[in-house]
Amino acid sequence: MTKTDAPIIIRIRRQNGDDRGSRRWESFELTRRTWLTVADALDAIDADISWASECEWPACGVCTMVINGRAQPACATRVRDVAPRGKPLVLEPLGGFPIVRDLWVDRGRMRRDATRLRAWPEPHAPGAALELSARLPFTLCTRCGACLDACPETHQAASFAGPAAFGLYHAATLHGAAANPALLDAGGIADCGHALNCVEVCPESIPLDDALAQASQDTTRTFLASLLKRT
Amino acid sequence: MTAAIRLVAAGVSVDIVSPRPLARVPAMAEGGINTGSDPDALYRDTISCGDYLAPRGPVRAMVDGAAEIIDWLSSLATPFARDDDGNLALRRLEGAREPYAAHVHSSTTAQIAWALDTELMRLEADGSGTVRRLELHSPTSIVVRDGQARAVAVRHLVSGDHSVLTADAILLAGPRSHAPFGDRSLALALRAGAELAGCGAFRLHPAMMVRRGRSVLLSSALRAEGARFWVPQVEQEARMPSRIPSSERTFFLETAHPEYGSLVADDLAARALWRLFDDNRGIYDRKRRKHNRACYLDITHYPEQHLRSRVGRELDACVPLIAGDPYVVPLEVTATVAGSLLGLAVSADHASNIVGLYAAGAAACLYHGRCPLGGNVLLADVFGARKAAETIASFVERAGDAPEIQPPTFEAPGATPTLVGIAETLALDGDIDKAREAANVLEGVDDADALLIEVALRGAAIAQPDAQRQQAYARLEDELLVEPRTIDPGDVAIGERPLRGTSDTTSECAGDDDG
Repeated sequence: MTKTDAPIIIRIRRQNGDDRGSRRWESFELTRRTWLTVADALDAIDADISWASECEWPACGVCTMVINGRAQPACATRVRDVAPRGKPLVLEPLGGFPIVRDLWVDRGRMRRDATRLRAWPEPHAPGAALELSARLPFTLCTRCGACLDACPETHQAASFAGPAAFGLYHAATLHGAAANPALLDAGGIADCGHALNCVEVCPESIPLDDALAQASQDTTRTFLASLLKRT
Repeated sequence: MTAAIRLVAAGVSVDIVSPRPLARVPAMAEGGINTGSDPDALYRDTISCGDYLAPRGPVRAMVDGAAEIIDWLSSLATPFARDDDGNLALRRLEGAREPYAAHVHSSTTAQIAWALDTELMRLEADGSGTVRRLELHSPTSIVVRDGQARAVAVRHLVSGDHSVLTADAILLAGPRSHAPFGDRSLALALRAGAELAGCGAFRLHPAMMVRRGRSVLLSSALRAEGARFWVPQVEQEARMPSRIPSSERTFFLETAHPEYGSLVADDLAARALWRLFDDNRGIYDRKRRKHNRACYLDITHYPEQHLRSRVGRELDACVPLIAGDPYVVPLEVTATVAGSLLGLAVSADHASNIVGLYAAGAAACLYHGRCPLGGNVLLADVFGARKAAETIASFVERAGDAPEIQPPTFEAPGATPTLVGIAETLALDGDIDKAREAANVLEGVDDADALLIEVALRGAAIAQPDAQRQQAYARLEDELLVEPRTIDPGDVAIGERPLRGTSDTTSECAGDDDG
C-alpha cells in the first residue's frame, strides 16, 4: 500500500508424491503487494503449486502448512506477521504426513489413528444431562495436522497416534466412553515424549496437555486392572 | 453423514463419495439449529421468511420433527448450550420473532459435524463393513438406465483412477457453495435429466466482508448476540468509528424494521443496506472522496471477556482480515450475494424426478423458499437427510420385489398466492381489501393485518426501484427512441436467430443483434 513495500521472496519446498528425489526448493518473487495472507500470496504466484484450500476462513484447517518454521493455516496468517520487511517467506508441507504434491499432504492417518483409539462417545439416552463445558474445546479440532507436524515423536515411520487423536479420545471419554486397551499398545500414550509442542501450535488453542494426561491416567488404570485380573 | 448413519441403522450398505474429508465444515453457519419449542410459531416464521414460496407440507413436517432432531443430536453427544436447569439455551436468529435456535456458542456446525463424524467412525469400525468412505473422490457422471439412476462414476483426485459404483439408490447431499453449480454433483444430476428448482433464489446476506475479491460471510451468531448495524450520522465523517458516540450513529435497521431490529430476515436487511448505499450513506472514505458501499457491524459495546466466550471464534477469524482488533473496532461489512438456494426439485420424500435419485441438504430445494430463516439451514439439512434416508431404505427394500416404480409428484412451489404477488397488488392497485383477502388465503397466517405490514415493508423494496435506477431506465428509453428501428415481424419467426446475409430483410435484423 505504501512505497516502503519491498518485493518479497517466497521459498517453497516442492515434491512430487512420494518421490523424494524430486524434492527441491524453488524461489518466487512477488512485487505488487495485492495480498494480505499467505493464501493470497500463494494465489498470486504464477506457477502450478499444489496446495489444499477449502473455506478461505480459518474453519476447515486444510490449508495448514509450515510457514517460516511453524505450522499455521495459510488463510489466517498475515504475510507481514511472519515475514516482516525483507525477510523471505518459507513454505513447507506439514511433516508427519505423506506428501501428495508440493504443499498438499494426505491427512488420512489422522482418521486411522482416531479409529485405532476408538475415539468416539457411546450414544446416550436422549435428554440425558451431561457435563459438557469441559469437553467443548476438544471437539473444535479441525484435524489440520499442525500438532502432528510439531510433535517430535510423530514422523512417518513412528506409530505414535499423535496428539489430535488423543484430543478426540479425551473428548469421547469425557462423554462416557470406556478406557481403551489400545492405549497400551505400541503407538499408544507411552510413546508421548511430553514435548507439548502440540499445545503451542494448535490453531484452535485446544488444551491437548490435559488430554494426554488423561490418557496416561487411563492407561495406568487399565494396566493395573489387567495385572489384578491376571493374578 | 446423517443419511449414511440412518441408512446403516436401517441395514443398508452405503458408499460415501466426497472430494473432501467429511468432517470438515466448509463454511461457518454457527447461528444455531432451530428447535421445536414452538412449532406453530416456527412454521409461521419459516413460511413468511421464505416469501410464502416454500411448499407447506414439507415445512410443517420439518418443524414438527425439529424436537426429535435435537434429541437425536444430543444423544450423539452434541453439546448444546443449556441453562442452569438443563434446558436448551435458545437464541433468536435473523427473521425469527422468537428465540428458536439451539446452539453451541460459536461452534455449532463444528460440534454437530464432530458428533456425526464420530458416530460414523463408530459404525465403520463396528458395523461389519456396511459403510465405506471414498474421500478425495469426485463424481464424474450419474448413470441412468431405463429411467432409473443405477450408478455413479467416480475419479480419485490424486491418482486419477476411475471406477464405477453401482447402486440401488443415489443421494446427492452436496455442500452449500457460493455459485450455482459450484458443486459438481448438481450439474451431473442436471445432465442426467433431473429437474431443478429455486433457480432464482439467490441468497442475499447483509454481513459479508469483502476482502481482495473474496467475500467472507460473518455468522448470524454475531447478530444473535447483539451486534448492530450502523452508519455515522455526519455525512462526511472523518473520525474513527470507535470515537463516534452512540448519539451520532444511525441504527438504520432498527428504524426500518423496529420489530426485528438487526435480526430482520437476511434479504430485507440486504435490501435496506443497498438502499442506504445508493443514497450515498455508506462509510466515507477520505482518500477516495466518496462513500464506500459498506456500513459498520458493531458488537464492541460488550466487554471482551463476554465476547470471547460467546462469539470468540468468529471474531478471532476476522483478525487476519481487518486492520485492527475485532474486539475493539467495529467490522466493516457490506451486503452481497452469499450463494444460491438452487437445488434439485424434490418431493416431500426427497425423491427427484428420476427414480432412484434423491437429494437432501444443499442439493435439494425444498424448505427455504426465497430466503432461509436463521437456524433453519442446519435443521433442514439434518431433517432432510433423515427423511431421505427413510425413503431410500424403503425404496431399496421394495426394489427387490416390485420393479414398477412411479416417479414422484411434486407440490408445485408458487401455486398459492405469494407475498410478492400481494405486495404488487398493494403497491400497484392500492387495494387494501383485495390484499387482505389474498393474505387470508395464505396458510399459517393468523393475523392478516400484521402480515400486510410485512408485505408493505417488502413491497417497498420490490415495487419501487430506487431513483437512480429509474433515471437510468428513462435515459435508456430516450436513447432507444432516437433511432426507431422497424422490423417486419412477418419475415422473422420469433425466437429464431437470423443468419447473417442470407437475404436483405434478415441482414437488417441481424444488425440489431450483432451490431
